[in-house]
Amino acid sequence: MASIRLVNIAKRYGSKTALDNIAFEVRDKEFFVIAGPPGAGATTTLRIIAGLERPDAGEVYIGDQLVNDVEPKDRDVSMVFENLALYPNKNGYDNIAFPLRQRKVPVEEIRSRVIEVARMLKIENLLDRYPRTYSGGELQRVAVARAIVRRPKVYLLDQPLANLDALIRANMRAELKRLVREIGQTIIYTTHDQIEAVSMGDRIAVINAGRIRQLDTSDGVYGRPKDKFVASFIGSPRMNLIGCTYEVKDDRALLNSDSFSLDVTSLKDHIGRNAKDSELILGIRPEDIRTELTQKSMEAFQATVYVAEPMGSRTLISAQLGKEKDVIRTMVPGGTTVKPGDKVWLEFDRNKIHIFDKKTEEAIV
Amino acid sequence: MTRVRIEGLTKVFGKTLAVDNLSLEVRDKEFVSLLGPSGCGKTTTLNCISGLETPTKGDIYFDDQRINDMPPKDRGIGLVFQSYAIFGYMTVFENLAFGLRIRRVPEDEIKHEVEQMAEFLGIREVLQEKAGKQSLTNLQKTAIGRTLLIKPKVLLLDEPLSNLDADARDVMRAELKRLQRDVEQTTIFVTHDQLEAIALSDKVAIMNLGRLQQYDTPDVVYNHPKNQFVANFVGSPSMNIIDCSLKLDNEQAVLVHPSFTLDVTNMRHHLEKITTGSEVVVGIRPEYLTVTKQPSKLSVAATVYVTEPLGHENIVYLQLDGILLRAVTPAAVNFNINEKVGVEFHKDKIHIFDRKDGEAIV
Repeated sequence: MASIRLVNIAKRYGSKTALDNIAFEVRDKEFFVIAGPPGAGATTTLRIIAGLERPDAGEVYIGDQLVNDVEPKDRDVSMVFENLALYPNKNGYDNIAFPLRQRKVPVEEIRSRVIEVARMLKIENLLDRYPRTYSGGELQRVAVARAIVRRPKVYLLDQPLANLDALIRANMRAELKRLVREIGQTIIYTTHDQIEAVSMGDRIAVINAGRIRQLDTSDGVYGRPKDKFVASFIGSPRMNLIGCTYEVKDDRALLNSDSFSLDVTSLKDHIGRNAKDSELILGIRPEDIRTELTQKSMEAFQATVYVAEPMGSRTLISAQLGKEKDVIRTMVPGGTTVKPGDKVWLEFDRNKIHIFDKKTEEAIV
Repeated sequence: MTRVRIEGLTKVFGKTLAVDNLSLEVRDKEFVSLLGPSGCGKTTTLNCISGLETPTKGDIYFDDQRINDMPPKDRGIGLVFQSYAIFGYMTVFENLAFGLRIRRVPEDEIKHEVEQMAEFLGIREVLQEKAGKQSLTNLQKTAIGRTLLIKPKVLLLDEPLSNLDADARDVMRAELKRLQRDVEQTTIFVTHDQLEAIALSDKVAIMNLGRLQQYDTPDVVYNHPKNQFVANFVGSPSMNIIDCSLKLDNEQAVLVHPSFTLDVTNMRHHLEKITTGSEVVVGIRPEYLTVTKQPSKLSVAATVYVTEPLGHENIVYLQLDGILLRAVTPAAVNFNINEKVGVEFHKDKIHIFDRKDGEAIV
């Protein structure tokens, strides 16, 4: 059993709180992602699991064993760092074989394991070559091969794709996800990239300022963000967030912004129960806004195109509602041609709106 | 306002041909991107325009004036880099005013122009604050504003968005596009990011290994790539590329792959010059593959290799006899690893390239 449990982990650097009461359990064979912006605490959490940092408080368990006082080399975890330090004077084979040789694995077994992992990662052709001749993607694969050849209980991957160019990164993402399913191991993976997080993780811990904001599946963090931070971190282009005042008038419930009034009567009971204040934030993702060139619904608001950006299969429109300076972003099918100043009609998909409390930033709906 | 004309530009470094016989024209007020992977020659081209490099061969004109031998400072260019070179100890105002001060513009005129530019950029409220305290977005706006204030003939931008995080980059990209359209400033923008290039530009020049691959509007480079390199480089997730052979007779055209055949008789008239049995490369974008739970007559059988939920949609990787295809599917439909599925190709969205030289046939 290679589950991992963190209990109330805290870590400070001087006066700065790096981690604040981090607690979660990673299940056996789970692909677990810790995602957050740079400095949020993802890497520190991983380093504490690896034993490279000591927590100021709290406990780390691997399986049932408390490992706080266990040396990193004895924890049976394998870490791949963002900086892929392969030995430049060793060829691919010797780089991958290194951790096995250190553990005095018999030569025959080393050979079969290196070849097996090379085949799995499609790097057989790199075994005789030296790292200086590798491309970025090849470096990555050899480093991954070296990390997995040992078959530890748990793999810790610290932003392994961060330094790759976009095309290789997209391909490696899929390969890595598939590989992880094949080897059936517990993985803890950190990233700043929300796309990596939602596309790869069985579950995702979204972290910010040393605190876990939400621990959930991709669907959960994307579709039901628990607070404003998660709502704006997950999803690209990010969710529109619009300050509104909540008002109940003659049995109707309204969200009023400076330039529109949205009927949310269907959510009235829900808001009434959960909102502590009338100052709310309306959240709506760009793909959840229906955009038309003419008014097709009484529920649509007129907006003025600020700028339109074609992105191939889709076009991103930034538009201004009324006199508001802030833009609302909306996704339309590729090939849509609008120019700055054109009028468009926006209708929010009522089933896809999110509402947050302005003060606490917690989700209400 | 200025038109830029590049004719037969070649730049050699030692034995490396960095730019190979590049010709293109940037019209007045146009926003043009030089797009390509690292080492493609885009930055060298920009450096030749700015005068940081001297061309080995070829000519560069601003309107009708040849500028090859003109010192950089006399060319009337404005240059903004990835690192903004903003003075952190000075206020935003002083940074914006910097170029005007050097040009000894009268103080009241400086004040007026800087304030107008700051209004335009949405940084008026922070004019009196120290630049060092500003967000990266504001720093980038300041760098661009400072450059625009000296009224360059041509604005040259070298990867100006690459230091920003994803969200700030989205914001700044939209701001930059709107700003350029409003001030109608001839702009040349260097990037390795295909999304930035197609989102921002009137025209995109795609380069590889020093050579211009295609120079066209974003719509054309996306929908009608001239060769396999462009097809692969533009668009994300990138286009599927499949080696096939083409079987032709009088009526029919069929693409043959070891694991499937595709009737492309609808394209027969584009294939007049091709001989039957030709080795070709088929390209189809992931959004033009439809994945179905039940195989149909029109579909090809495949196995799900891995899936990637992205929130608003999913990418499904499909395995067919040794090849891996990417398909974009709606978020609402879930597929599992190793599930057997059917794949339909949108026939009118198929690209066919010559396998030898990679040039587009259809």
